[in-house]
Amino acid sequence: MDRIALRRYAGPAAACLLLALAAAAAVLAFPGARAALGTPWANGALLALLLALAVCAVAALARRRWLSALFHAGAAAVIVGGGITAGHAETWQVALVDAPAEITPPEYRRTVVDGDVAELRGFAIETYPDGMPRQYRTRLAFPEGERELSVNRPLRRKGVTYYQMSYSQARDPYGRAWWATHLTLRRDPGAPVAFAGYGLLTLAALGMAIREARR
Amino acid sequence: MTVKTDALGLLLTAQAALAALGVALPRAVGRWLWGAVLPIGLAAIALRWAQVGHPPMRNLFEAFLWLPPILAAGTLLTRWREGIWTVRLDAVLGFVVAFPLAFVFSAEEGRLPPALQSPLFVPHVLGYMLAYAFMARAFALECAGQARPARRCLAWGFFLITLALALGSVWGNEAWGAYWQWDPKEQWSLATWLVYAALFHVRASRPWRLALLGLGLLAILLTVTWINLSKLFPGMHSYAGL
Repeated sequence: MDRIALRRYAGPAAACLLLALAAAAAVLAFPGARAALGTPWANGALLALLLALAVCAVAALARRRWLSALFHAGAAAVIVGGGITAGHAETWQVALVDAPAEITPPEYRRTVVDGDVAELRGFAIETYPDGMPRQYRTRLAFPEGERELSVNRPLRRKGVTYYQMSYSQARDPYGRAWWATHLTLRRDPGAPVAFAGYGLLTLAALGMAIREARR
Repeated sequence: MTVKTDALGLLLTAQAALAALGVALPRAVGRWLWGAVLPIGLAAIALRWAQVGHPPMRNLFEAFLWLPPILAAGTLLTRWREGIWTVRLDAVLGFVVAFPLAFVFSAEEGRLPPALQSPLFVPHVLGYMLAYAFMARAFALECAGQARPARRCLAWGFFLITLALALGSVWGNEAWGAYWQWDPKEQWSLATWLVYAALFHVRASRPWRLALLGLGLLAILLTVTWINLSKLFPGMHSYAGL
């Protein structure tokens, strides 16, 4: 197949591939279909997609189609970021009980990740006048001092991010109830790569819109 | 079907009536009536904002409030940029949204849960509402044979849908520590994005452009209705019901 014929069919082939991916993404919303994720077939398909995007980005660069190159490079970066996340992200689920130190075993008030110690100093729930939770906040003590986290305001420290997830009630042996704060600790080296990909995609889409507006 | 009798309900009923009249009456009168949806829709948003004390975007009713004035602004923008009136097309789309706002959706007030208290809340939802309006107009304009304004709407809609998807992902990472959770609404938003991305890869003839624009609009409608509201798809967006 000569180069001109290849160019002629590459666009429609890419459009068909994107429509097939759209169908796959829609089907994956159904609960039973999610079992397909992480299987060798799914991983192989993603790898093939990554290669195709890399080829498209390089071909677009060679033809000086800068927006197309930026767009395909951005999509490739998102997939690379997703791969790094799937293979290397670490997650720790932690529940810390906000009860006096005298009656609480230390491991119920403390979390240790990679030798980094965080101790619970307090947990508070803010409510609306009707009693619905407005925000919940956890105060943690690190060797250098206290820091606070709440929903949507995570705490970042030494490559690990502390997220405020939820809370529950815990009871001591005397039947008294205490709040337990539920945190997720996560180290995700893939997230910045995926976000850089989002940036490139958005920039390319903006460029395409401006180009269309000027025509 | 319920009739809302408070001030907001009256504004929404007036908005639906003006959209219907914009479709039915001659263009010279219809453009003024449809144009009046812009201030009335903005007044409805301002009133709801004052009532609930937060940007009205918490559920489908509040998010849909933004669509009629955006569509009316789109009519004026197209008139200014392209020199053509698209009153009937936009008024039909506006009526499709304004009718359920006035007579179907519940206007019950609610508080913002902690997960929605983020600086990314407004840009994410508003980005999607603008994108959906642009995409609906792209389809309607293509149906009417206005290829150039349809292409412009598609290009700006695609930028906004890309931006809103990315912002939602970044927000998910800030709130829950994961930028992609295989949530049903995320999946369908991605499927919608992929359909529109396909359109940029083909120099399609008009029937194919129409088919792909229609498929994208169908994906949007299914995402905001069936996926959003059905109990079959529980997920991180479950609070965003009617």
